[in-house]
Amino acid sequence: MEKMKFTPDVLRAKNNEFKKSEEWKEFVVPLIESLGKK
Amino acid sequence: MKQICISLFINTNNDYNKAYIRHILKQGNSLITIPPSEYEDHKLDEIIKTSKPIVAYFYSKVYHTTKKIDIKFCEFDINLFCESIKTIVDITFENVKELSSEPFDNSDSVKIEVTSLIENVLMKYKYNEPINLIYLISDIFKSTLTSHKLRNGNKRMSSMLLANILYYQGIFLKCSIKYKHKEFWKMNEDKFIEFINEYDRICVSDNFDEKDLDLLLKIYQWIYDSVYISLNFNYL
Repeated sequence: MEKMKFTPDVLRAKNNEFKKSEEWKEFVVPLIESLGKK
Repeated sequence: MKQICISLFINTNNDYNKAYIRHILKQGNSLITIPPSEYEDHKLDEIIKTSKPIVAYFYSKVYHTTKKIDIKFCEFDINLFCESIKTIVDITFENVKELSSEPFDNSDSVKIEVTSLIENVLMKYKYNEPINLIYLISDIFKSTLTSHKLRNGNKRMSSMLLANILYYQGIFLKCSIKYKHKEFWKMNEDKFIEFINEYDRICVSDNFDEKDLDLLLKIYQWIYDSVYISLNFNYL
């Protein structure tokens, strides 16, 4: 069975993908912004 | 054909994990549902023992659609994860800094403290197979949230770290289907804020140790209820 690949390059590429996703815009960004205000 | 990487299990030859995979495939949960009529029990060993993806009919609770997709189980290696944690912490701090203009502790010494805190959590699981990955991630979240390594931005950093670590496993931290309408999304967001503020209070109270396990289980349940595996996720 293959193992997950967690090299820094893969992680950064994945993070860039995450930042382009709808989930990032619709849930993560508002959440972090809300937490910052409290 | 799309491929999903589900990596909740570290030791797939273990009977406990087999039962768990069977549960996901057959019964469904908040993440994934396969209609029972499409489930082929005899394929389970094939899924577990080989790295070849299987074809299954997949019903997404998020998109309300039935699609034919590949499901591929991928082994989670805690040692590889441990080696990558410094990068994950660095990325998380960068993300918070980008998203919030409020005061935020992001010194190198704080990053080192957070990294070693997570490494300590991982050490607990290293020789403790089988690992339930959501449980492990809950433990990391609990530790960063309650240890208060950051004077400013601890909740933001902990939440961002949680979202990032889940994403690297192919899981979005997002409202599940029951929160698909906007008003419910807002409710779930408020619930999360209320939830982590509650733990903020618990961790400074005198009887925190007694509530430690209870807290972990609540975090586990909340995460389990609030994530889904993305249909668009292509890890490999």
